[in-house]
Amino acid sequence: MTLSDRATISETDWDDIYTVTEITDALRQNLETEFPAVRILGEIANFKAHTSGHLYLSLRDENNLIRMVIFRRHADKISVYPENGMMVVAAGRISHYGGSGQTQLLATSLEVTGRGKVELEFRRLLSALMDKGLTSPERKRKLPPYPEKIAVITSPTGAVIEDIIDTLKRRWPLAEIVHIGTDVQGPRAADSLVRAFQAVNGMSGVDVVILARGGGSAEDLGAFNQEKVSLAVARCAHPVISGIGHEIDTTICDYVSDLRAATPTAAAELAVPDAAETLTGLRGILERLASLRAEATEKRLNLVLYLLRSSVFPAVTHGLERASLRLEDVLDRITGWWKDYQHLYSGRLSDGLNHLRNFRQSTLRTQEGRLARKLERLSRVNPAVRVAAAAESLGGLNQLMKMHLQGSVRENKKVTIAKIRTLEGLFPLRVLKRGYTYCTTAEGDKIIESSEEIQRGDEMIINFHDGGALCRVNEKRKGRSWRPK
Amino acid sequence: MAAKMSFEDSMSRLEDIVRRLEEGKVPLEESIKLYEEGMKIGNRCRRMLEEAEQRIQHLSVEQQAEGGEGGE
Repeated sequence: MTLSDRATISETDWDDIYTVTEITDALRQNLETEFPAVRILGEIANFKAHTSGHLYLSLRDENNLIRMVIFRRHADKISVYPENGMMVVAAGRISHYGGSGQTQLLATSLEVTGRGKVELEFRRLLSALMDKGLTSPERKRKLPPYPEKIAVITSPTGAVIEDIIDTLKRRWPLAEIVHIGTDVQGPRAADSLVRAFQAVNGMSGVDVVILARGGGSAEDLGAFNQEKVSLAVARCAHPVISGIGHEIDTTICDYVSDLRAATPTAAAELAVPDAAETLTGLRGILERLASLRAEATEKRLNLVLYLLRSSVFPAVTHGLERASLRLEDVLDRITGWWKDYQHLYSGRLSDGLNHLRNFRQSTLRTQEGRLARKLERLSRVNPAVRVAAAAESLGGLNQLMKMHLQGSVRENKKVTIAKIRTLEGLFPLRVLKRGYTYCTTAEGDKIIESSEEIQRGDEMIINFHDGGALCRVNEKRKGRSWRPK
Repeated sequence: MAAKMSFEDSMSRLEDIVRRLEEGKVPLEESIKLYEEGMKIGNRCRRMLEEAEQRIQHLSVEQQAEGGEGGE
């Protein structure tokens, strides 16, 4: 088909041709039949209230737009007054207005669903950051209890920084404050905030960052709902406390910061402890420390007293008593053996074996001499003597205790230990050191007191002061001590 | 060494000392040393709190971005 073909229209074709009015009427009828009652979700744009009382506006989403009119009779009755950016559901019918050639919604009611685009963007970003885990509680860093350096990112001038500095001064004058001035609203705010975080990340020793802004409209806080600012907060090298707007305002930055404060001043309060409280606590600790010291010293002294009175020393004396019984027993047995020995040999003497007599007598003398020496040694370990010595030592310890009570604990402790060692040295079992031994069964559970208790081939243990020997009985003789043949 | 400790380190050391002393398991000689250390740290912290004077530095990111080091 060429242009010249259409240059003229044949007679028969006229039947199919609409006039503008005809098509406009047709469109209107069709639309009104098809969409007599619809509800449309969209964001309000191009709002204009005409002097006639009719409201002219548009509903839009990301790609499209539809005109909308609210006539005066309905405009008086709608529940919300329109505002650009407001997300609404508008109800009415679709029509076509021939005067401007526009298809439009003739709305009779409006319902607000949120703040429109801002709100939608807020939700979109928040859920994206949530998906990344940037808002999770596990990610929140712990704030240092006693910060030394605090970075404050906020407007370079105004009440906010003054309030923050006042609060920090009042509560925690120990901390150094680094204030980084930024734009906090307007088109440059987001980039400015991001740069502030870059600067803070480059600083060393920053314990906590306060991100603050005073109250304002939703648009004023817009920068704090932007993705790049939120990411700067989330990725900050130091923990961040956010204090943005009033208590009711919650920005994306509040969700990703380590701690959300309701207001800038609250952020400053949360950032630091209270010096007065800390000082009170500190004084308490120092008092506790002082009383602990007194208590500890007293406890130790009591322990010394306790040991002397109740446990260790009575055990020692008890041990002395037991040992003395054992020694008496030994002495009895030695005496008995000595008598038997004499008796035996006196009997043998009478049988006239003279050639043996001299030998035996000399042996006897030797034995006698040995025994005498042994008895003399034993008398030296006489328990009564030992106990007296120990008592003397105890007297010395009592003396020591008095010294303890007068102080200089450290010195006296050494002396005490030395004294206790001395006392140990007096313990009667130490006779083993003087050449005595005792025998036990191979199991070591029973002392062998008589040759009756052992047989040839038996094993027994000989105990020395410094060890023992497991021995086997090769031969035994009754009635007299063993001597090589 | 101890003089370089931060307030936070000092406080946690102090709490540690008090806890150990309260447990009462520390030998006497060590406990006296701990006590002395605790008093020293505690008094230093107290002085820090009593004598603290806030240092404030004002920077601007705009200056930093354009003019290098930010100043007062």
